[in-house]
Amino acid sequence: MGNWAGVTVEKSEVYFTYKNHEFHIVDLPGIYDLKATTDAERAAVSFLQGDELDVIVNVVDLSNLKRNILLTLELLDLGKPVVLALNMADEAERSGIEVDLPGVENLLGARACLTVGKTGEGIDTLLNYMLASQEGGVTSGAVADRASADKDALRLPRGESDETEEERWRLADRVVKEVTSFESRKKSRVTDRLDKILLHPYLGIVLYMLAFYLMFKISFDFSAPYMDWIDGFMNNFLSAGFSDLGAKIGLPALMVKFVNEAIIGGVGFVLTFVPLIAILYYFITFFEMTGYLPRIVFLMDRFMHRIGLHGNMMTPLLLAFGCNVPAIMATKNLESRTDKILVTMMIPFMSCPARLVVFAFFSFIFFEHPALVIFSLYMMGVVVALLTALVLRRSYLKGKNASFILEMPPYRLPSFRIVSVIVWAHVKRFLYRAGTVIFIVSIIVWGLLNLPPGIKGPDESIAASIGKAITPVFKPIGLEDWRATTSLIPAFMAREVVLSSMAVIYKTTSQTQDATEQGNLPELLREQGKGLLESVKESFLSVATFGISSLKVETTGDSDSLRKSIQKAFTPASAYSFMILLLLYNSCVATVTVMIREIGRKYALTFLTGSFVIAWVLAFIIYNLSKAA
Amino acid sequence: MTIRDLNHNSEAVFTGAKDYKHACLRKLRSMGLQKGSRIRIKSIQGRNIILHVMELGVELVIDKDLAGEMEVC
Repeated sequence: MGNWAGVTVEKSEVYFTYKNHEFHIVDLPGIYDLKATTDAERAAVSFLQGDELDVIVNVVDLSNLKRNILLTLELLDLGKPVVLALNMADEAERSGIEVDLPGVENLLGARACLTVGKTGEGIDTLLNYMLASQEGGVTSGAVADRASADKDALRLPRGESDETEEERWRLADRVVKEVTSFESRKKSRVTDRLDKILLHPYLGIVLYMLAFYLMFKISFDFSAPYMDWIDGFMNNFLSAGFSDLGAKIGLPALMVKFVNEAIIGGVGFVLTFVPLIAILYYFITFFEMTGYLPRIVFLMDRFMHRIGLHGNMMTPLLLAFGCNVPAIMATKNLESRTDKILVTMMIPFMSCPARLVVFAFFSFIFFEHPALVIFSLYMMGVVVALLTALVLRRSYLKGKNASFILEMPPYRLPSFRIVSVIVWAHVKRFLYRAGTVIFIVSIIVWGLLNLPPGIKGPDESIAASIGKAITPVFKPIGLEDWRATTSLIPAFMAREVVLSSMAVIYKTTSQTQDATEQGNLPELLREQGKGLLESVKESFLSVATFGISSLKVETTGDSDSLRKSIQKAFTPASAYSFMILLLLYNSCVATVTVMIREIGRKYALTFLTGSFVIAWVLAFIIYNLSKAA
Repeated sequence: MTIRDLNHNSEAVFTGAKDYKHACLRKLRSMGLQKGSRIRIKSIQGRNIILHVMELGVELVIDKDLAGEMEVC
């Protein structure tokens, strides 16, 4: 995710085979040294000191060898095989830094190779060295033998006293002087120039808001035509095609109904939002990798301090826009427990892409300027989070602000390949959820809508009974339809499940459902292909225009699309009220689980109750105000 | 004199902290700021100071309270 400490907060793992050897790589949270002060650092240090590893790969920023070699010296002191990946070799070369690799190996007694993370250069050598370290025993094989024989090999200082620390710095200095040569080249002042603008106390904030607005605008504009196309593909091609096929081969009507409503209607509908999720993650990952995120933390610190918070708390809060779960895990980087509880209680108010999926759907249908509506919801989440912090800091979670320390990395243009790999990991997780949680929830909702056996319509179903029972609670905020309130229940599993549940509920209860007249398959496929090409053209054109495009809502014809049903069932005021509820009430089960793990059951349950009350009260006020206006 | 007393763009040498047991100061040391480090104040904004550790090319943000604990000459 990033090349500085504090970005990765939990270890992530990957398995692969190389030269017939099974590799299990564990990426640990970044650390500057082995003296851990936060939960994330403690996790990394404890793993390094444990017995689960065969070889430590120390990824060192070559452009800043001295500072990084300090950790290397501590790692070597652990007595485990260490291989050095001298990374960002391209950047070091551009800065005029040359390194004597055999010199590094002799001095440190560990294999070292040059790598460029952006391009993957040097990875083969690194893997070979990792293998060699295993074949050669605990101390890095042949190199270690050479190192022990070399009179110049470093004698590592042991212990944790101030003197030891200073001795390590002296050694780091010696390593750098002996193994690197520096040819002074004109340094790029890009970072300084950009910082003058982006860190300006007023202009910086304006640009930050603008960047986030543009992120939403471009994401929606670009993805809307594809979402439209996928929706059409699901409804007009897959669903209708399956009905047609079912009729031709004599499939039981209940089975056709199940596939159309629960699977295509539920899971398929959620899949229409894959383009939006992907593009949004491109932006978030890009901001993270360019080094802009720490600048936002810095900019916001001044404001945060006024309400009893500090800039370090911004990192988990910003991560929450990507997903609340890793954001809560990122609170491991906060040293004070009070701060950790406080930030954890703010995080679920930050809207994640799962909620965005629902906001996008409703905003596109009911409002002329969907991006503005979504932006207002995001801002509402931020304001509620800040007010929550303000109240808690002055009541239950009093505490002195910890000192603010932050490393400001230089700006870097991330590689498209690496950004794409990260985005793909997020999309894969979304697809996995669609195939598991959303799939199961869709089936359960469909079952509840069709049970008990023998009912005349979904009005008599178990789901309807539950929905009707809870509707009085939501009536004052404009949600009078049992179908809308019922869809809120499974939202606890995952926010995006609301749409799949609605798709199942409204499709099942729709009386207009009828198989679309079918053409032949090649003709239908040709039509879909033409539609896709049209979407590609539209996506580029809409980004180039000033306005924000909306999804098309068909209001004529026999189409029983969810959009049409929703348009009939909600008003703009009740739609906004529904979105407020989804934004603020409770959280998904994954977030709650992590919350309980990180801050305990008592605080998690307090949050769940409190957030529902806040959501209901705000929805009530805004709904009634907009009705009166 | 402490870092807090420095002006924008001024350079100094970090000579140590009043209380090195302070966890943040220990952390700053591992981030690259050690005794003898030459620093330049890149920016002072609100309650924070951005300082450039010149020999490492590292930029660190510290708050003024902490800066007041760190001595320079």
